[in-house]
Amino acid sequence: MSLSEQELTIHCQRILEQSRIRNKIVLLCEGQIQHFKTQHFSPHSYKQLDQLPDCNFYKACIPREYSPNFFQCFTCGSRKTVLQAYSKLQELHAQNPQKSWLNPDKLFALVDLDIQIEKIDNYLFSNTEEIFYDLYQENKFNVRNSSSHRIFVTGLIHKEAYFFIPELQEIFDNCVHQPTFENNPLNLQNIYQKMVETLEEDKDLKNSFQKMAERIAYCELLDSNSIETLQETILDNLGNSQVINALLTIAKSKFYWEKHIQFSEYDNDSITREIFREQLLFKVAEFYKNQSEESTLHIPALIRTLHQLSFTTQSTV
Amino acid sequence: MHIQRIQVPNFRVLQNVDITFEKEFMPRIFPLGSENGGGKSTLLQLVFILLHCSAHENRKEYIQNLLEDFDVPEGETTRELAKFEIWDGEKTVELAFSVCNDDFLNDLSKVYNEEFSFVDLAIVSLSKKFEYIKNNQEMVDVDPSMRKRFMAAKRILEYLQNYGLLFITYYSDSLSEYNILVCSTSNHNKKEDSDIESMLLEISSQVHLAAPSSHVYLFFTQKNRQALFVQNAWNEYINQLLKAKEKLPNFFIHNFLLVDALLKTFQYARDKDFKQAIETNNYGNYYINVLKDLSYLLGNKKITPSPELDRIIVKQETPQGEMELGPEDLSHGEIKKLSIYVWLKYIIGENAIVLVDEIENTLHPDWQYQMVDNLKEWGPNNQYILATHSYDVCQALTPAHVKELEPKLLKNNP
Repeated sequence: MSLSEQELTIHCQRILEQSRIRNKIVLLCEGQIQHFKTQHFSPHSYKQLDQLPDCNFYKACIPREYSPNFFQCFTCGSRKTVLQAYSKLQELHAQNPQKSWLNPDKLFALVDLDIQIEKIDNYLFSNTEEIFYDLYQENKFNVRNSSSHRIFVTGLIHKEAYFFIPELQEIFDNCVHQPTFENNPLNLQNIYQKMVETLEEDKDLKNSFQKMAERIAYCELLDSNSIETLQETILDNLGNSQVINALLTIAKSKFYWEKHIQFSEYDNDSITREIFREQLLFKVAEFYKNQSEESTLHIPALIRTLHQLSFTTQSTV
Repeated sequence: MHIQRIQVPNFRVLQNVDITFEKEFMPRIFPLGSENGGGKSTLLQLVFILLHCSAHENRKEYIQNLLEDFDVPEGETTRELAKFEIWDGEKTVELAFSVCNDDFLNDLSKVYNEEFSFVDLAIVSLSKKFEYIKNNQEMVDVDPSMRKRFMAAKRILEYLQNYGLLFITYYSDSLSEYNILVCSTSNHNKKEDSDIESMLLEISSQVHLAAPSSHVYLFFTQKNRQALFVQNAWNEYINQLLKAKEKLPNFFIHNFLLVDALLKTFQYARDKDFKQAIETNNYGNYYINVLKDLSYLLGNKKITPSPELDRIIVKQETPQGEMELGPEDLSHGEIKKLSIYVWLKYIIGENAIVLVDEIENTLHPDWQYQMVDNLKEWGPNNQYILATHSYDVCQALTPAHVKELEPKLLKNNP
């Protein structure tokens, strides 16, 4: 989703005018832009949304010990427009701080790593890949480095890759309306296998293969000399969690989540697949929410970092 | 138990209401929104009163109050009030409530060549011997002066049964004419009254309503409703609330602290621990877990019972140490959260239909959002319908979970 300069400015101005962002962390993320034409938030306006706002997933991942409103999340379209919005908000705030509820020290963005590298101007790091290497080492979230970041990238390829980590298998197995993949109950191993088998069909991956190989170079079990050798070595080691993480760093998970996940038979025509998928998303979020303080999973670690930053960054009066 | 669909063609502010609550959804928590005055409370009260009171003679006065102004239009004999589709765990049960006026009895009058009136049924239904007719017993000791009325009432009930209609109660409409409320089910062609009654009986124990004390309850008499707005009549209103709480066991005021229930909770946990000690030589953790739950609910405040289990003690952690407070020092939000916790976890059973009005009032937005998690944890097998204006409550669910009574403007100008 791209926005014209004017649309971007209007969207950012609307964010700045939201009094609910006062002294709160503002987190910009990808996803369909919600049209909040007024300050009126009601069950009616929520019901009018075509789909679950992407930011509600992150909100649902917040542990119970934290305030669920410690950050205010705004969707800003594509990765590119999120990054543009990050700069634009700072610019607009600086132009007229009297008309803004934003605390610029509390402005953050979270974008997908993806395959293509996105350039960033006037920031600590010049592109998304640099952020990735500083924030994650061998697929582990680097807590020490994290506090200097304002723009975060996911440690796996897309947000949707976090819906496919092996730990979630039990959740899928216990769903009343079980998710399915290729007409069978969703078995993550089958998804991984399909992802590996179709790696060679991904043109973006082919074009950026060298860079993708560097991303997963830490994984000694993999041979990244070519896509074929990579496929073979992944398939040989699908029981290894490091290998699966590596796969989820380069294989386009969003496509599988949106196009391939179905649900077991149910006798209510009015319920669409999307509705069940949204409900499953909350179950996944619940898994992340209930992780302990020591969890090394990326999403809980990222939320802990944001929570700490909400106290350490300066508040405005 | 799960309400799958509610249809209300026209009752007070409610018009053409047709809402589905998908039993396949997880969680089964449905925010219900509307404008102010859009009919959320009216709908919850209508659902609760019809389903909780229809199978119990001593609760029917509340149906009569609720229907006070519900007239059958001129020239017609019946009027539909509400239809429900309810999942009983195995099948969907359809229940339709409608009202009939005297003209409905025209056919019966022709057959017997005499005038039948619901006045007979109304008078007889007040008699303790009404059971004779309902159970098809011989009317051995019925006063001879009343015998004619009893016979008329009996014929009317038989006539209703031929139409598959179960007599629920009489009421008088705005013109002081007698109408009756009947219930039918379309599940089977020839449904016996006793079958419909047993369905209603089962549902009545599973449906619950929680609402604040300051509400206007449409199932009170008009005079009692007005007491809420009359100077110095507040006591009268509170008395009515307490009376209703006594007569309607599943009616719950969520801004009164349930001290008794809390004490019973402690007592129950203590006894359970002791029972376990007898059986295994080790005390259980029930009491400790209740304390933990309560402590989690209230943050820096703790609730414990007195050693005699006759009052609760509230303590607050301060930098200077623990400070003792009274229950009256709890905030409105804390009392509400605590009350709902005790209600769901220790008072109402499982598999209930729980209607909550103004769930968000007095709660901080954080607590509003977290209420969805709380409901899932405290009563995971229930269905919840939450009348609300809160965006925060909705955000904890998918947009498809949110149900709505359409804004009037949209309805008038589609």
